[in-house]
Amino acid sequence: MRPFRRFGALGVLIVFGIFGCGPRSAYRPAPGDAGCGLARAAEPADTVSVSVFDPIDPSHVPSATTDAERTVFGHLYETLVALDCDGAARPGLAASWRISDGGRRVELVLRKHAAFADGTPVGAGDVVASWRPAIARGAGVDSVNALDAHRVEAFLENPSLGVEPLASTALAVTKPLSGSAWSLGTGPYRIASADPECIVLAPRSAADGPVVRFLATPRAAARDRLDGSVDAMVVADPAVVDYARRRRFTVAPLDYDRCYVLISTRRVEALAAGDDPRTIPPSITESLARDAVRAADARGPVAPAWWNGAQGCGELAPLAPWQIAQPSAWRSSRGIRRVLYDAGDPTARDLADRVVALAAIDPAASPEADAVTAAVPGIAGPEGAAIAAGVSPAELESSLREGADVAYIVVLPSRPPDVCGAARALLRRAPWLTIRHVTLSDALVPLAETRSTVIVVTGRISMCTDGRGDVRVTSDESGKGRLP
Amino acid sequence: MTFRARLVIAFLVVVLVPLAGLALVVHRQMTDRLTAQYERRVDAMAGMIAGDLSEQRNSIAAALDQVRDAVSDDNRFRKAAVDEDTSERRYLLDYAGGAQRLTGLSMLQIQDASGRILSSGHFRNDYDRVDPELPRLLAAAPHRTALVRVRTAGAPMLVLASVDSVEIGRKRFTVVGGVDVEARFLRRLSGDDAMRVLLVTPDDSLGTPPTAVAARDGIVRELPVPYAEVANGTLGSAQFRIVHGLDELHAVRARIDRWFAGVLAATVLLAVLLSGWVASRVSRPIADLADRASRIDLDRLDVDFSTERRDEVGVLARGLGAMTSRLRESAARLREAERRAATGELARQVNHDIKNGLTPIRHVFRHLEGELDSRPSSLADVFRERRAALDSSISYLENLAANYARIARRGERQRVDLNDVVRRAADDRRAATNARITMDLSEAADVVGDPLSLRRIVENLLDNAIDSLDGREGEVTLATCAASGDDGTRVRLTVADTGPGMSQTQQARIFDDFYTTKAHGTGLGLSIVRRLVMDADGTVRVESEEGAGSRFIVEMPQAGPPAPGGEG
Repeated sequence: MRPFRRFGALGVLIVFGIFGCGPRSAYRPAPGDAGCGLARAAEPADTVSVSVFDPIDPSHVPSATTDAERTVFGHLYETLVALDCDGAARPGLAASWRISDGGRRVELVLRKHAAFADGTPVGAGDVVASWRPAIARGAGVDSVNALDAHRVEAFLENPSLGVEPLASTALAVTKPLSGSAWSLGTGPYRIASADPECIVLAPRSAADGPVVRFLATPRAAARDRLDGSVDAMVVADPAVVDYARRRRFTVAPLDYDRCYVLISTRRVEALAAGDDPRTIPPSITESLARDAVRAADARGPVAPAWWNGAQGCGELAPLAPWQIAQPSAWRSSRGIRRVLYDAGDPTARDLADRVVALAAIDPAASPEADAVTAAVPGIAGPEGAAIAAGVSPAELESSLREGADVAYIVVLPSRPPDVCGAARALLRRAPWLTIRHVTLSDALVPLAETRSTVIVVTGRISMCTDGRGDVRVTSDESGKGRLP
Repeated sequence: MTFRARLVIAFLVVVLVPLAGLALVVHRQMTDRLTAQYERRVDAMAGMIAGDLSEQRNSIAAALDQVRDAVSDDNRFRKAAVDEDTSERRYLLDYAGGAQRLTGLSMLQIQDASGRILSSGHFRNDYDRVDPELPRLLAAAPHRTALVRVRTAGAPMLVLASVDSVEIGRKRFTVVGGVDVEARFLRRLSGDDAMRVLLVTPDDSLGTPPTAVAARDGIVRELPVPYAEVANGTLGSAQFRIVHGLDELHAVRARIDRWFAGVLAATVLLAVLLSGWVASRVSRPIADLADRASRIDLDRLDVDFSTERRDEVGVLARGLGAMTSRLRESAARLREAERRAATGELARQVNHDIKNGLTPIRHVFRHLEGELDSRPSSLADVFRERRAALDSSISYLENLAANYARIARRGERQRVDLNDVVRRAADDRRAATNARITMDLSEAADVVGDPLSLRRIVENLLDNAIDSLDGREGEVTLATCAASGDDGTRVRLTVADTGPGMSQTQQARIFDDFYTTKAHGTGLGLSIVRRLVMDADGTVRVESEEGAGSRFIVEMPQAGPPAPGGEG
């Protein structure tokens, strides 16, 4: 996993080069540094505005489902363990921890004077209460207990992975607040006001940063906002990034954190029958990412993928092998063959379109077509090629669970802090992926990785990121961000 | 066939034939007019579609002209397409999408000379696919335009496409652009339920909705349009098929048929009722006249034909009445003549009968005279010997005189209780016969006539009935009752016997003078009955069947209520 962080750090170095904030080398955060600086405010403002392009639903706390939720939740909630830019564990809400029992047991000591946004102290009981739903959903932790008021012990599902799984946002410590849709958190910000058009976060102390207004913005209006009233935004659209560069905004690319993979029932069927897995060469995925993806800054996927490391996670499948049903697409070789994707994800649409286009090209005439059709056998049949179909997230998940369609374009985190948890989560969505002992590394076909870019009004706002890729507004002049 | 039936049929024919003719004419006219109207609508739609196609063709050509000019002026496009500069590759891949949106086309793709797709607006990521057939087929089509089914990321799209070419830097590029047929044409034409527009291609059909319609189910027009079948590299033909259903026409026809059926039914009913009424108004009086006329005979000339009608029936009725009146007079004269003839005949018969009675007496006296001359001593013996013959002849003459007295006498008319006459006659005869005489008398049986004549009538009929039994056991029934007639209430006297009955021939002559079926009968009894009954303004008839006895029926006018203070 570490090599991936280097790529992210490289991007950061470019930014630091602009600001002269550090040597032109791999960043190693100093003790106490929580993140990697993205931008520095020359004249800090009292209030800043940030555009967000996705809906924010407080009921999703603490596990964000959109980039906008990630950004807002990252200001409000903390995990016991944080990740620095290299992905290494750093103190978060927990000041320290001790690993024992072969790495299976972790004893964590809460930070002194840690408190929720309403001022109530955070205790071990709060951690236990907050973690229980996440543990039930499979967050990499077997169990958690309060040892005393400030100490908790956690038993990890996979001791070999260290304490990094405890940095998963699903394990952020929250407390429900009566009369409010928002839970209380321990982060540097609190909710000042919230309505569908604007969420205002106020710092818990002046040192934590300015007041931040998150403005709901249609994607098509991103450039208008750059020309207007916002101070920062996190975008994926290269056209907006290109526009920002021409207008001399500060542009800070984040790490490639989203990996688009092709999942195919036909491929799993062939693998289960004993066929050798065919992968798409990097040169082709690179051209796919470069040419086919219009809506994001994309590149070919970087090997090895994290799911290759899931082999060491022990029992992954939520169901016993005999309980896993064959994908229903196996049982029907007729009907419309579809490559399904989330209709709200333009990158997924571009990739699905390209896969479908390549299926209609003679493989002998195009190496790209040959590679894709070999990776997804049966995508072109006697009735003609498959079609790309954008559906709602609910319909996508339903079809994925049943394996009702030929193939799917699915987004996975590029580097999840909890590899095993991420693998389990994927298998809950598509249990047939590992039918008859087919492995994830064979079943998944990575197509492209994308990243977002932070655009800020130069000199107006300080922002940083961390090993999870979360972006925050800070008050730190270095832009590195500090521990509270 | 009755007069009424003929009248009904005549009415129906007179009314229904023209009505049916009218229905047929209206039916035909309506069908022809509506069909012509539908044909005009279909022709107008075909004309509109042809006009639209032409307009779209020109519009697509203009759009491709714009794209061609823009491409020529675009440096970045040149770098990407001509120089194959990879730094502008994304610009090239996105180019057709932007141009398609600006020109309003539904489909646009730019291909190089080998047919490789450089940029596609409708299927952005279809780049690098080699498709030389599409531009070739379009170039060969009339006006370089044809229908074609193009691939998209989803379902194929049927477009009306044209092709153009542009040369940049000695490299030739083709530009294929088109509009979505479903969105631009068929959806716009789908607002009419009666008229449907289908687009039938060699491999599928689109329409509103795509139902198979045979020519007989509607008015059909077809507008051929070139169709590029890229899969097999041929240029075929699709058709815009415009079908105007005849449902509305059938519905109108059905409504008119129902309306006509209703009118016909009402007319038939009215005709039947009217003809029945007319027939009854005409035929009933005639039938009534016929019935009255049928009752006329010599014994029954009192049938009344009086009427107040002034029409032909009234004339006929009055004519029949006059005829009946004349018949009555003639019958009276005939009776008189008969009476006279009977009297002459009677005189001859009396002469004959007296001679018959006197001849034996003469013989006896001559014998006695001879014996007196020759043997006076044996005169007493001869007288005693021949006395029986004298007695017989004298009895015969006495009987004859009594019968003739009955014929001659005409008594005085007065109110008489017929039941009383019947009882006394029956009582007189009961002791002298073996026949059982029974009576069934009504309460009131008063008539006007001569009591002695009435007694003779009853006695003669009773004697005739007893004689018919010829000494055997049997029954004779005397009955009186009231009977209604045209001239009021009558009293009916029935004398029935259980004798041998009579044949038709015997019945026809039974009332003739001197006709008898008995060996020693005079043949005058029933003829006397007939005359006495007629004198009493009555009628007499016989009903008989051989082996089943006979019934003699006498009817006479009933006497009116007695005058106050005494009998009339």
